[in-house]
Amino acid sequence: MAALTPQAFHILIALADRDQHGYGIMQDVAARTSGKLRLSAGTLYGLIKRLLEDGLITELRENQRPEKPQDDERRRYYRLTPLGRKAAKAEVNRMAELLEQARAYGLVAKSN
Amino acid sequence: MDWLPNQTKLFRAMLYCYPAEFRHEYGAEMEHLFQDRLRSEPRWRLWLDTLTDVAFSAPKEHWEILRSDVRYGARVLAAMPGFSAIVLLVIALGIGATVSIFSLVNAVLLRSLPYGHPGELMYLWSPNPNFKGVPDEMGPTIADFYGWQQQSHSFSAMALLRQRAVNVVRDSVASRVEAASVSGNFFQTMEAWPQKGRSLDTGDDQPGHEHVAVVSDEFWRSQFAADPAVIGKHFQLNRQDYTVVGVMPHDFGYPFEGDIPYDHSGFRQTDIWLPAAYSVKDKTDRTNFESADAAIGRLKNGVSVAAAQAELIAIEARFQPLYPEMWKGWTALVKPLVQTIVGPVEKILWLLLGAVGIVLLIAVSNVAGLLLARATARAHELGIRTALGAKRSRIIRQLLTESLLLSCTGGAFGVALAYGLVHVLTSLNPGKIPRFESATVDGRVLLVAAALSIATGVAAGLGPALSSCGPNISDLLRRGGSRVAGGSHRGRFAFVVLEVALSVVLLAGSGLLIRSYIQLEAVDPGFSRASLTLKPNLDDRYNTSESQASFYKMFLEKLQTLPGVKYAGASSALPLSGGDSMSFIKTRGNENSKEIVEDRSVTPEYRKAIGTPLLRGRDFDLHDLNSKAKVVMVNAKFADTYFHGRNPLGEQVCICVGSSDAASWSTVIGVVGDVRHTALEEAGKPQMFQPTTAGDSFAIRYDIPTKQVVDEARAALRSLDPALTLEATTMNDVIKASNARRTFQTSLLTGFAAVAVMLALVGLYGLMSYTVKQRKAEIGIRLAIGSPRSRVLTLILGQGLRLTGYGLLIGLACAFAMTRLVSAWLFGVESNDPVTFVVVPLFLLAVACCACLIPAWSATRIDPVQTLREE
Repeated sequence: MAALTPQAFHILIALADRDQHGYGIMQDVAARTSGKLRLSAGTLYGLIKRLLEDGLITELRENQRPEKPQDDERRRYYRLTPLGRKAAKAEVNRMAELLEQARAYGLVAKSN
Repeated sequence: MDWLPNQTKLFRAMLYCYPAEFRHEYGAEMEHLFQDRLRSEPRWRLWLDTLTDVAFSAPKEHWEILRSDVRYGARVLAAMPGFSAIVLLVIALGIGATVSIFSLVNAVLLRSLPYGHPGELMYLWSPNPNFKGVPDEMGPTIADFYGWQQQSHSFSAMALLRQRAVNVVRDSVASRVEAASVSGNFFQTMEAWPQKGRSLDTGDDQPGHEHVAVVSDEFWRSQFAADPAVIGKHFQLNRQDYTVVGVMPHDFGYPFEGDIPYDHSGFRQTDIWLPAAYSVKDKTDRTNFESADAAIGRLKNGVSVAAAQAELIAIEARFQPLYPEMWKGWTALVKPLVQTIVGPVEKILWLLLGAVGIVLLIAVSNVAGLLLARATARAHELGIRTALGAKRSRIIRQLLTESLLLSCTGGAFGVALAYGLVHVLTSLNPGKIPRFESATVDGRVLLVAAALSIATGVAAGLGPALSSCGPNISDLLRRGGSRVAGGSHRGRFAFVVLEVALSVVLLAGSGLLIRSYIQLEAVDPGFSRASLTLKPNLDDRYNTSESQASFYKMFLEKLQTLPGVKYAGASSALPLSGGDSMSFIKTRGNENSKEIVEDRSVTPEYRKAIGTPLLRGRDFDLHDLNSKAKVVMVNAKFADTYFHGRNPLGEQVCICVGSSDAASWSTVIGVVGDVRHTALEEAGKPQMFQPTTAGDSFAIRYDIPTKQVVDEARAALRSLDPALTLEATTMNDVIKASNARRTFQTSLLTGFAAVAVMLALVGLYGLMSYTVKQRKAEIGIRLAIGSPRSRVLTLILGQGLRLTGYGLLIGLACAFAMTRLVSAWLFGVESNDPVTFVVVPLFLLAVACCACLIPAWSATRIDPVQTLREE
């Protein structure tokens, strides 16, 4: 399994609290990054394909899809797998550790 | 909102940039996402985003699939090392050989010459239609050249060149260097500039200023150890002091061997360029027939070759009254330089490239056969993958990736092989092919190798890939793949027939060349191969014909007294040396004719020294040298041509320019055998010999080792003048050099034919072994019901030979049509030579028989009981 890229990590975050379809993931990421990261179709589905192959996310089966009013029938929904959650957490820890070290060296501006 | 469907359609079309697999999986989703964005985002931003996204993500998806296919393919191929090794070997051989020959074509024909705008450069010749048997490509006389330069308006520059060997002394060692005297504007005309210092200019070719030299990169490295401060250094050339003013780049060595038609210097390339300083008198003197070896003009923009030639002809016509009566008739001929240089070798190089292309085609067909067999064996695996939902296009892509993996790896080995082969080929130096030795595996060659590797992978892999996806899956799974054998079998039969047919073409071509070679080897050249020829290089100190003659006479006397030397003689021109001298003659009864014949001045012992037989009469003796009564010897061809069956002894010949008084008539005292002078292929022409005391070319017969006699001769020369150098070659080497190109093309084509036959046999053997394996059950049953083993043997053998037969028929038909391509190089055989066309098929049948015998024999060893049990 290759290392998590920032874009893939964003997808995992987007799926952390709810199942989403591709367009939902894209909007989520754009909203969280204030529009700085906008995943276009090719990049988004390329990443989804690789996350599926690596078992970090899974596609929802017919009986797992959201209830009728929320379910957009044309779309495929994705969910974070336990492995995906573990990978995301590991990435978060790695980043937190890095942040801690940076802070110890005075590289992080103090926020109040 | 009617723009929305159109934009979606455009996006849908763009999805074709992605791999089919990816498109099928996510295409619809991506389209929805695009539509959603289309409703909520500005169009320009969406399209900018989308275009950038497709440009980056589509290649990435392709790359991902390729990577996984390559990984999978490498695992599959590593699991069958024998198969992979054979395929790699065949591809490496095919591509290596093709790339090597291509690098020769590249060096000689495709790489542009190191002169600015070479298309504008023209050779300016001065033919004389009155001189029969003399080539048109004769350089103009010095006076005519300067006349043209002054009066012509078609050329922006015009330069002349004379080749000469010079003796350079460095650290008290004399060496012979190939040089050219050129007019001061030579480098400007060629648009070739030095890497160091300056080139020559028009101030250098003035008498008194000519002791400057431009040297080649090779000379600078060998004689001055690549000294960066070489400009301004002095060196001794023909015992005179010269200053180096410039060093040319490494690729400039004009004229190279073969650059000047009918160049008899034998120079490989030029290492020193000296100014040719002519006085005003020299430039107008038409009683001196000194001529340039080549005159080069740079055609002005917009002037046609024909117009330039017409102008020079008109100018030359005005000069004719200035010539003595016998020497009138000069005219002008303008020919493009590039075409003149590469024209004579173009055909042979393309022929070799075509031949090696056939070898590659056989290799490709061989690999295709192997891959087909492999695909058949893998039918079960592929069937399962199809059953699990793999798309046909995906499987074809996977199989093509595997064949490309093989062909590109094989191609890489091929390039490595080509590095070695090019080195071997250039060291074989077939002679007189300009820039042949500069052949290397350069960028263009690598590009061709890459293209050939990919083409080979696709050509060899496509058929097997398509055929393996054809069959019904359930059928396949049920029968374990045996059903596909029929289809792929036919494919493999076709490949083997093609291989045999192509190798017949190559075999017939090389057979004809080999037959020509043997015929030529059997030719009697009219001299002995054992004779040794010697040529001392006199320098400018020997500047009168008297001083030269007296030196040559002393040297000959020294040679005659050397221990081990039986005969020593001298002549004005040696056979196959390229040198020649011609004279006008008249015979009694034909006093008004103006015949031109090869004329030699020879010393009395020369005939015995060179080994030409005496047919009638006697040799010259010392008395003839001093006698007032003039005598000549002639060859058999001369006697036949001019005396028509009469006894030539006592007949009279006049060697005359204009006059025909009694004093210039000579009596024939002897007739010698015909000597092949220009080339072994060309029958001897009428020749006449006059007695002399000295000539510049020496021949000796000896009964001690060659090296010893050469050392003695060198010592003898040194004792007379230590600053001179001596060239020594046996006539055997002279013959070899004159046959070098024929030897080269014959051996190369034979090599290709051998590889072709070997590949075809490997293909045939592989197919027959496979057939036996496939028909094991059938053969087992045949044996079980009492069929004799000999019957099984003939069954398999018959099948193999039938395929060979089809290949032979097709191949022979093609060969009949194609051998005329080699007719220009044939000697003593016709292009439809019956011997070749009988021996080639017989040979192929015999070797095909051997290739089929092993599988056929193994078929007879099949155990019927065990086979039936397995069934």
